[in-house]
Amino acid sequence: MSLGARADEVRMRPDEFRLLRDLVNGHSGIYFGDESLPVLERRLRERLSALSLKTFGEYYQFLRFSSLNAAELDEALDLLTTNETYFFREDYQLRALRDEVLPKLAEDNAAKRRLIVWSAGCSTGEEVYTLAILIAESRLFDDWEVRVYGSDISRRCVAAARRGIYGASAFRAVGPEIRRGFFADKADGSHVIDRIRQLCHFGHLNLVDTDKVRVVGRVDVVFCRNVLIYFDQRSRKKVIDMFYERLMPGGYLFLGHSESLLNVSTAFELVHLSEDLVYRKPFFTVPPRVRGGT
Amino acid sequence: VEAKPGGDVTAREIDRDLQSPDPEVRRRATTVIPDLPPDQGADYVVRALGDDDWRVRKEAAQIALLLGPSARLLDRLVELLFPGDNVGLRNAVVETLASFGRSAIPAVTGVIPRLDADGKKLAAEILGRAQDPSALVALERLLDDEDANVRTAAAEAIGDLGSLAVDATSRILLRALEQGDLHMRLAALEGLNRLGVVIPWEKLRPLTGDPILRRSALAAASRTGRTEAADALARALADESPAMFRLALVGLAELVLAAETTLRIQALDARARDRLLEAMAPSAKDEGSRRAALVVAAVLGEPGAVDLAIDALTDDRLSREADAALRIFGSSALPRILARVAHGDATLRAAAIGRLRGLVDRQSEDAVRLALRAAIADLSGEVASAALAALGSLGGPEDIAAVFAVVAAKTPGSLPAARAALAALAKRHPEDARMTAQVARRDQASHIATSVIIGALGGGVLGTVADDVSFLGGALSSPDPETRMTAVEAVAEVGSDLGLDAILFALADEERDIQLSAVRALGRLRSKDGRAVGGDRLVELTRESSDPELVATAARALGATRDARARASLHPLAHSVSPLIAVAAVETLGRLDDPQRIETLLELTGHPHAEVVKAVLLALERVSDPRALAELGAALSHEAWDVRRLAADCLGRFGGDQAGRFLNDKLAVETEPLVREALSRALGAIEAPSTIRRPATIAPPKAEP
Repeated sequence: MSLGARADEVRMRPDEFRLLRDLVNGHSGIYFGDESLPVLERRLRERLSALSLKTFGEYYQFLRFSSLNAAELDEALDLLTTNETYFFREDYQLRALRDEVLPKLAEDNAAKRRLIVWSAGCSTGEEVYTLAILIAESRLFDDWEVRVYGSDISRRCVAAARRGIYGASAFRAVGPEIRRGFFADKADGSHVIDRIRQLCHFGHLNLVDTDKVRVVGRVDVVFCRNVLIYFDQRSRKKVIDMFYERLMPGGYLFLGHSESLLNVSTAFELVHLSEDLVYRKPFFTVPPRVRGGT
Repeated sequence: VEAKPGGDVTAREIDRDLQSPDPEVRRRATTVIPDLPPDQGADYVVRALGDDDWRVRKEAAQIALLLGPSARLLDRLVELLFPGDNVGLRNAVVETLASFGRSAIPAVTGVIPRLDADGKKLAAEILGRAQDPSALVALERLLDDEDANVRTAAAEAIGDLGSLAVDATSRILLRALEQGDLHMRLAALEGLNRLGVVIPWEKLRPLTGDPILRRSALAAASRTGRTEAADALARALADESPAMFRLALVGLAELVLAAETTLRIQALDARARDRLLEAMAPSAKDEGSRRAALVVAAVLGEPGAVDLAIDALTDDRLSREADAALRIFGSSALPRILARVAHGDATLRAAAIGRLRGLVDRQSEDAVRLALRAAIADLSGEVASAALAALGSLGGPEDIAAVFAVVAAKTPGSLPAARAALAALAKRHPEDARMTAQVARRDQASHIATSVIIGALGGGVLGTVADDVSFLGGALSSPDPETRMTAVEAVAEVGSDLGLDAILFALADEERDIQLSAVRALGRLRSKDGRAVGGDRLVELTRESSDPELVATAARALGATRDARARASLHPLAHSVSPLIAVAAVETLGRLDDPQRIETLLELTGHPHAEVVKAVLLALERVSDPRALAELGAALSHEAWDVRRLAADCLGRFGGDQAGRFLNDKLAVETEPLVREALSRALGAIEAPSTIRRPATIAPPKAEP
């Protein structure tokens, strides 16, 4: 950087990129390939201005050693992980849930009348509310204890998810009946109705912090779509093992359409549904490392 | 001469520089005296104490303290109490010997018989200022000295020692008051006044007629609690002397404030009344008189005093007496207070509302509630909060809906007060509160208020406990942090383990306060049969989390579980290198009835962080074990002065002969003034005197000009 350069002209050097990339990876498991240098540079540049720093090297030092580093790391992750999403995304998986998985769980859990679903990496909450709407629409769980947990590493995303107010673009894949039935249009956007909102609980969780994620308890279904693609192999394995541990025997794991557990040693069994392939924790548990990959 | 690294400064060099015409050279020479052999140093420091320049004398006094009370130095110093011309030197000697405390007392008392009257007066002053009860014997002997000035000085010095041995000094001073000559009686009376000793009115009454003793006798009269004393003080308000008026006014107010029932005071004559009104006027400059005048005027029922007292409620210097004045006026002050509640400065309105609770009676109840209902929606958070707090205790079932609405509105300035008021009303009127909550259960904006009611009543509000927990689970998904926080707290109050999952997930809330609140809730959460259900998770948290604040909060919450396993996990936490965690664990252990806590606490007295050691001392103070006492005694030698000071206070509260010996021994060698003060205070507390004292609470009377 030349002397007197403006903050919006600051360039990220390759060595600075590697330092920041490794720091983010160590904290969150998210891995940025070398091609992501411009992404990090663009998204983190505003933090340099906010902190009056001159180089990304200084920013790295701030993240490592400042007394405010934990809060700043949250800020950085907010900028690096925010991804736009929408209701009823990848609907073939949702149909699989509605038509095959939920009826099965209604049968399996009839005695305890309890259903817990977790959207891990829920961004601004669209997936969480989608799942809650599907459960409510099914009428299979009326008067059950139903919880849909949503967690994300970004505080801002969690706060936005809690608000439950959405603009038009979030509804690109939603039919008018759903919108009318489960949202209330107001001046500031479409509000999730209280009946659905009350099923949904949001938390700020880092998936690689396997101790802290235990607050989720045992769940029947995990949705973790288009999240693990950002993780390195080691972190992906750690998170998959954690999902295995959090799921009830017979519980289901939904990954994104481009994701699979290929090359990840796991005890999950693959279940062929009519429209999708999902993973299931066997009813009779075999330790994950004993069994080969799926 | 300059201090040399090897400390090899010679006496000749110091000798030369102490003769320099330049005071700065002499002062610098004084600073290196400690480098000399001790005996030689004593001689030179005495020389420097007699220097013409105050800076050199001040430096020498410091050096003398540094050298310590060696026999040689004490001998040299007490020699200087014999007649001499150097006044500065004698003052410096008094200063230095008094600073040596108990160590100087044998040397000073040993020389007294050979001293002249002036020397004995100085000796009495040293003994009084040395602040050690062992000087009392010699001082009592000086009360019988043939010289009146010596006797008076001894009585004054005994008064100075008073707080260290209240019973002994009071006995001696009361004897001196009855038997001594006029000046000694005055000194004794003033000593008793300084100690706040209650002297029977029968003994004082004859003294009030003596022109020399009258002033001090009337000051003492304020502590008697007797109507006759009040009459005497009221008569003194008519005295020509402004100082006597002030003394009588303050004394009368003290008498009124200390009285258990309202004292009656005879009506004042016109002149005294004018002076009273003048004294309580806002323009009056003497704060002590103004404070006293508010109280006395209230007893006399002066109508103008109500508004002045209301005005004074927000003045920190006057608020205590203003409050007392309004209490004396009682319900007759209510119309004026209610008039002030509606308009004017918000802080004053809030303060006025705060006084309503103590004054309301059956006749005024409706008017007060009406005023409070209007004020709970006030734009000023201060006024609204005060009104809510008052309505919480004075309100009826018909107020629940209005307070419920205020909670639901979540106005930032008044929300905490609104929550507390709603909880208080719900506890007093549970059925009405339940009905209000049931009607509003579907309204999302009201979730916070419904949660308050569930928390206050411990469940059973919307149906079964399960229904309440389910409702609170929904409230925990609210986008509003205050609603989630209230819901977490309410879940903890509902006696059911059904809420455990909801609280666990709140640990992942993005709001820090809610995370911490969830941790605390885990400690309080109980199953139907009263079993703590959050203990295991708290133990896990303390083991797994790297967040010191969260672990410290978990440590405190573990204490609330009253669970043996949870308690056991506090012991390793108390050894944490993080002072935040260690202090939390130590404080929690200290409050538990755990027989093993003493072992852990004893291990921690050597913790490198002073704050942890202080927490340990406070915990040990509550343990009735000789090992705890020994550790408290050892802490008097801790390197940090604030630890030593706390150890002294702890020993004072621990009590007993051994604690007294520790304190006395330390008092002999401690040089830090604040620690010495604490040692004296603790010794006074241990003595547990039987003498009745009533220390002055309003500014003490000024000396007559």
